[in-house]
Amino acid sequence: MKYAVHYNGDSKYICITNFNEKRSLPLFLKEHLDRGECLFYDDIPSELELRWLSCYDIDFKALTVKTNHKRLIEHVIKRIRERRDEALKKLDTEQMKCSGDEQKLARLYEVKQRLRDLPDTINFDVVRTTNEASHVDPPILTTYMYEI
Amino acid sequence: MKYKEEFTHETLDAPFLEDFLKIFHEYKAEHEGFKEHYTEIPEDSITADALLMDDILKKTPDFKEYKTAGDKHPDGKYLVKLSEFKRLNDFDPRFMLLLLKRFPKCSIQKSGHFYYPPNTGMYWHTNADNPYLRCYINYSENGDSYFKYYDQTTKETVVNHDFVGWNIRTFMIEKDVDKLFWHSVYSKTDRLSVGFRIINNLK
Repeated sequence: MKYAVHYNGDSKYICITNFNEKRSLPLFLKEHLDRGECLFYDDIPSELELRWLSCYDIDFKALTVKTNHKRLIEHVIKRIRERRDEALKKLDTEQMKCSGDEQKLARLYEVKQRLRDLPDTINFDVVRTTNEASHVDPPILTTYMYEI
Repeated sequence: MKYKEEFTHETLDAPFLEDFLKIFHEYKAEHEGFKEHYTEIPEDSITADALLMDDILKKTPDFKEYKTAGDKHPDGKYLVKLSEFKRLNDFDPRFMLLLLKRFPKCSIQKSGHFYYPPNTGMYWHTNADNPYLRCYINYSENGDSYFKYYDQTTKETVVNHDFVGWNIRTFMIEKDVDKLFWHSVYSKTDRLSVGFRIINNLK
């Protein structure tokens, strides 16, 4: 079993299908295949690779693909929350280590609050495509430990 | 707009940069100068104007194959990817904190992390697959290295030499064919480069 995915940065077309030979592919995917614009997988693509597939409405009969903006926003927020929650856990551990250091604790509480507020800081007016969504990456998710 | 979109180039100073260099030199010694990791390439085959003007720009107008940095040289291994060295990656948060002062309320993503040994470079490319502001922080051992770009207004190339030591450059990456930011790099000295995408998508 093989899996083919076509995806371009502007998210105009996306398709995932399983197939054993080229003739079983939809016509538009064959064209992308001929132009070398498909990714092939021997197994079902990983969660990372498929992370954005759920954000599309794919009509295989009409061969159209549209970004579902509501799901895109939900997906971005879910990803940010997962990373944020991991950061908060690490800060909980750090908090236990620095009891008594009031200054450090104050900074830690402030960073934690900024992490909790993170989903509200994303400007979804400029996040319309999966490519743009993949670039939502608030620096505090990388810098939090250095800010306390 | 939260930042300048025109090309900028300044010197840079921060205490942790010396620590970064120290770690790099430790890795370099450990890997015997990274000699197995790269191949020297003549300057003319990397950054020559003719390559861009007479060759690339006269080809297909979508320039798809030039969107990604570094894929074009037939040799395939001409720079050292520093992203493979964990202790250098540990500096990412410090670089980001530095950049946050210049680009508040922006997403920041690391985009490329290379060591250019003497007589190596980065072939002409556009980065148009990710059209955002780019910021490159680089170190040049003696200043004998440069960033070269094509000015879409004057239709001429511009050689922007590195300062000795640490540099910071910003430039806007566009995806429209007539605004593509063609650029290349060549170094005759030890040169380190850490790149970031700056994305204006936070409130």
